[in-house]
Amino acid sequence: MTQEAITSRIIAIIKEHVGTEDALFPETDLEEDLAFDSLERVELAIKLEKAFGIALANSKLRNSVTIGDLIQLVICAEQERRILNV
Amino acid sequence: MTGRITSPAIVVTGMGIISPYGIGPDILWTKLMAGESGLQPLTTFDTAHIRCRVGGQLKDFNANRYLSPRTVRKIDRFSSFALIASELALLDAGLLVDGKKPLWMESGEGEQRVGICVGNNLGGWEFAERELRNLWQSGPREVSPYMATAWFPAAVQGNVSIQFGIKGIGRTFLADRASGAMAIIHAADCLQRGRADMMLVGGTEAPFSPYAALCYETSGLMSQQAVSGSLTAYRPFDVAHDGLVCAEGAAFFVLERAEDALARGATILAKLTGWASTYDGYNMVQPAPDGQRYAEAMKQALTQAQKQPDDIDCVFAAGSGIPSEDIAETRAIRLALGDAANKIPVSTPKSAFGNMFGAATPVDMAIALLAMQRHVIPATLHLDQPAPGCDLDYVPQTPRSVERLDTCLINARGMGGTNAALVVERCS
Repeated sequence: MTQEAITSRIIAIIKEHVGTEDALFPETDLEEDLAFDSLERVELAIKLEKAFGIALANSKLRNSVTIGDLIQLVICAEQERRILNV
Repeated sequence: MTGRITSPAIVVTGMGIISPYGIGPDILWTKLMAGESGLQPLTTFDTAHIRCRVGGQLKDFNANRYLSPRTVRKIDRFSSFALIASELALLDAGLLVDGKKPLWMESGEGEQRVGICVGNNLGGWEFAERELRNLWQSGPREVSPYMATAWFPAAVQGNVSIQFGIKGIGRTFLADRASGAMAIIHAADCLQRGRADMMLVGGTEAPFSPYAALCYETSGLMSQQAVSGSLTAYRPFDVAHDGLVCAEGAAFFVLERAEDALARGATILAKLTGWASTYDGYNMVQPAPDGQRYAEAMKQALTQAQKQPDDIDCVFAAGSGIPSEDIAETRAIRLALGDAANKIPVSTPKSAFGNMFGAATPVDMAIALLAMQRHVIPATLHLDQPAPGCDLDYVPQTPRSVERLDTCLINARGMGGTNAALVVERCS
């Protein structure tokens, strides 16, 4: 899956999760712009884990500020998964 | 100096209700006047494991119509009820600027002086049971992270305070069917002692899920007539009374000191002039049959309100429908009101729709306010023939128009003899 495809899929998941039709970008702040609290991050992370078949580290999840940070987390986790599967 | 220190008067300036009949005071009042039962067969969850087959269930309720799906996903039904009833109360009190946010959120001022008190008994078991099923059937990854905040009784105070920017005192009271009364008492105390300038207070209950309903059933206090699906199973003070039928819903109020309410030009719905609570110290489940401590709560509330028994125009009874409790409540009312008890109507309108436990007293208070506005006492439905030991004027079957309905005593009694009484007065 390309980075563009991952980005597009993550944004679609987040839009569905928060119930918005507004455009979201990698710079969009999870807390400031989308009012995510710590529990909702976990809820979203589980959705991302299921969608991409990956596992996300809690510590890295907590430090994610923007959608872009989440995208990078998912990309790294996907790469790790691929390496482990080789 | 011998001058008496006068406590500030406490008034009700907003009211929001969700009853088994629907949302708002109008439908509740209309149905009560029509004598329509709010009890229905329980169909929204599997009842194979319990005997009770009826309840005061709000069947067409869809929280997504009133709250964002994102919010609804995070909370239990009892919090949804509370959020909606709170919003209605704040709206009624003229405190919502754009129909959504309270004045203090808009201005960023005074939010520390607004408090919240909630009465609840069970917590949010619909949410909790769903997530426990997910845990056992699919594993921990399938459990909502909001399990941490959704199910416990104090979740309501958290959700409401966040939604409406309330940053002052926050308390949740669990005292069975007196939970809501305890919340109102604490809120009034906080205002009178100057610990807050405004209190949002009420109760909420959502008992219709398999485990929650089972908890009530195992108490042994539910009506056995509900087994047959009888819609007349809840029969306070009737010869065929044999226990409670539970209901869901919420009622919330805005309370303020009278001087503050008048200063901001608020409409005053009623005065809350007396309140008291006592405890029986008798048994874990059964209240004391002598009614002494229960009567004491009523007497103390009357004393605080500076009322004599003759001043009371109507008593809204706790009316559990449990035979020993109905007799004890009758005894307590006689002890508290003396000879005046022979002529004061004692109504239990909740017989029509069920007992809301944590929200029972707040809903009773809402009905009392509506009754005082309209000079009509709602009836005690399903009371065909008073039980032995129940010898008061219970306003059976038919609402009663009265010339004077200015002062009401509202009783509350929970499991084990948690007693409370409130005095509310019409605002002239």
